[in-house]
Amino acid sequence: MAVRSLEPDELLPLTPAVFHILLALADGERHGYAVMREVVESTEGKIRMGPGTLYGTIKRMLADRLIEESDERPDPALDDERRRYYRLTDFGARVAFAEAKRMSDLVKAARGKRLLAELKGTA
Amino acid sequence: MQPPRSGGKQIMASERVYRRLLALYPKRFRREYGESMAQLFRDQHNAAFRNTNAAGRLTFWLRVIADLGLTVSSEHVTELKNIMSETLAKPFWGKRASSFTKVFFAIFVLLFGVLAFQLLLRLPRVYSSMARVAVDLSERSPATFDPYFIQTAFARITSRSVLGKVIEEMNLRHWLAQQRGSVTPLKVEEAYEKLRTMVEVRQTRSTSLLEVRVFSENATVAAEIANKIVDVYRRQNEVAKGPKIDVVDAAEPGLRPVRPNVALGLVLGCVISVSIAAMAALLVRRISSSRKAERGAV
Repeated sequence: MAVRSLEPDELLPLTPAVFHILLALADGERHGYAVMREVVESTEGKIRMGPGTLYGTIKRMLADRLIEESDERPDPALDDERRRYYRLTDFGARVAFAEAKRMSDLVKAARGKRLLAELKGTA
Repeated sequence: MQPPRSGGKQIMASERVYRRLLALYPKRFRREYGESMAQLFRDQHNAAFRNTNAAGRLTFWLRVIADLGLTVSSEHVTELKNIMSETLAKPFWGKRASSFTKVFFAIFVLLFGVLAFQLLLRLPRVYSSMARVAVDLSERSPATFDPYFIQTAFARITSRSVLGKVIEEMNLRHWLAQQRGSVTPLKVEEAYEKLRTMVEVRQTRSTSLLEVRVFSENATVAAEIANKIVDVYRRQNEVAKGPKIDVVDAAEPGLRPVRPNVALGLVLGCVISVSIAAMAALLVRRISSSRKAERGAV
């Protein structure tokens, strides 16, 4: 039976966990702990994913073909070979772009309503 | 990976605890990601114990427990959905089904079919007998007209006054006790309650005819009771100077049982046995496929 390929918009909006993992992998392939560290750093510690959240999300992202497992290792001598590395697929990159665009449009709309200016004032 | 430089024993103990907790996840998820999760836990644990104090370590464990609490349940829900969709996607009969599933399904259909048929044969045969009476309302003046006469008649026929008299005149306390397998006669109230469940009163559509049906495993007794009810009702009505009651049809013993409905029983038996066999076949296939998967994983 032929499997219908999804359009990026069909997966939107993404959950914060999925979007942060896509962002973390946008620079290149990473293993789970590196993804988690990247998310903590990029969100200044506001989002911390535990092992269950991270690998539960990775499982669903693999199923949706947003990411894929990579066999390549940056340098086996520097790394534990049991670690599993993940990288973005082309589809994952398109979904990340679509989500970023959606968020950008939202920010634009918020600016149009002067919400962002008010937020800056209260911060 | 760098080995833990300090608190090595503590880290190993924590990891052991965490690995035990991983057992809470569905087997398939654990098999796929358990090792990676344990490694991630180890990395996080190392960082937490290197960079934070006791409060920070406590916060770390609280986060781990919260993460487990949230994700264990969601993974089980996901697993259940997967099992359902995988199970229903594969047929248990047809070209794509395995011969083992087919044989299992066929045996179960046969087994439950025979069992259902046996149960049907063992159900008690209940006969129905009906006596019909006509109520003459023509002599009643408009002043005494009762719009609820039929409902009143229904209530009177099944009243303690009528059925109690029937029990007394036919000595049914003994017979009803025997039906229950007892030799001690039933109390009057018990006998009335039992007889009440055996009697059904209806109105013949668009007429003033009343049908008194009695259901019993004994066709002859059912007919005798129906005739006695009509007789007692007629006599009591005469004493009370009510409308004239004529017996139109006396009850005759039924030739065929009205319950159980054999045709309906057979259809239901087939449906139930096929359903149970299908569920059993799906369950067996599920167990067999997970064992194969486990063997494959080793």
